[in-house]
Amino acid sequence: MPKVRAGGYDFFYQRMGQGESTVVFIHGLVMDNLSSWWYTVANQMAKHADVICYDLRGHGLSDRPESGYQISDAVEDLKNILAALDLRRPVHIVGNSYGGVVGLATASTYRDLVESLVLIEAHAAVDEHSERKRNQLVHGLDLAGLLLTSDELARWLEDAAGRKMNRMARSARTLIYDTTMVDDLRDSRPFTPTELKAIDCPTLLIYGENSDIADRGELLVNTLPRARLCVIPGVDHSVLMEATRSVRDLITGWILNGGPASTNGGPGVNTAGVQSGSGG
Amino acid sequence: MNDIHTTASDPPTAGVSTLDVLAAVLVEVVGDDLLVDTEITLDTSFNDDLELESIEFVALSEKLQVHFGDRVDFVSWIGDMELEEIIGLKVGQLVSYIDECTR
Repeated sequence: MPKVRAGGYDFFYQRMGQGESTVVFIHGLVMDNLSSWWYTVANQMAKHADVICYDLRGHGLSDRPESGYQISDAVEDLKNILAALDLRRPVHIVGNSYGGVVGLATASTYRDLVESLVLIEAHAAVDEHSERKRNQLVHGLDLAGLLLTSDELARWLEDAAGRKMNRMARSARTLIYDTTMVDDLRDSRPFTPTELKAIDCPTLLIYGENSDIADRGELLVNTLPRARLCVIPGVDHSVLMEATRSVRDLITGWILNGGPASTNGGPGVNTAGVQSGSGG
Repeated sequence: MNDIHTTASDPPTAGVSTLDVLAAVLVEVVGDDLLVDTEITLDTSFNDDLELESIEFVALSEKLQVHFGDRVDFVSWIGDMELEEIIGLKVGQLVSYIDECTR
């Protein structure tokens, strides 16, 4: 199985297809791994582009070190993985949930690595009132809450029975209790408005109409200089699983049909059943 | 693999040998415990019967891709399916696809 050695750890990854664009898919926390992208969008995208999916540190088939789970660690991991794979051009980053946060943080830290961003239900915490300590806490609890109480997690556990459930639950437990992940996320620094305003790559934001974090989409579209927000009706945080076709169409259109260019003032994304608006 | 029996009357591309390969790769990916309780036949479902984790199915596909080389193209095959179809896949569908490509 292909693993890439980056920063001293082995990361499981899949690289498929070829094309002028490179698209890197990043998954969410704990119960997630690269398969959620592989099952939904990555293989389709690989018919037109160079596609990379990888398991985040501690997830899927990647190494699970005891520590190093701050958002900034995930950014370094991604930078190291891209270097190890000899990527010499900026990539489109497509992140789901926490993967979106990693994408945003990567664009903020290493702007030159990023061609465009697609953020799906990203839990971006913003230090709006300079009350850093309080917001750090909110940020951390938010992410911890995501992994401990979300409907998505409950549904996974409900659907998974027997062998699969045992393995997944065991894996989730060891990640939560045997690593510093929760504490690291709690300690991760929120974005400042200044940092967000400096992320000038084209960004597509996709949120569920009924998502409990839909306000993050509003906040980001109003803060990022070149962002467009698409709200998918009738779905919650599990947009990728519940509205897979809409999400796939949006991502494909964005990357293959010049979506990023249209954030310079072009028309809104025109997808049936999807409300859209542009900010910036 | 006690459950696989070949006879002289089997056509050479009846899927038996591909099933053998697939079963061997499954054990590589998942471990021996899989075969203790579960008989693998063409009608076995990856999700419901084998309870394969989705990341294990990714690993399985990749190992099969390496084994069969350019003759199979799992990216296109999976790329043409919707989520529910992938989740509902049976061993026989994968064997048939491989056999069509390698015939």
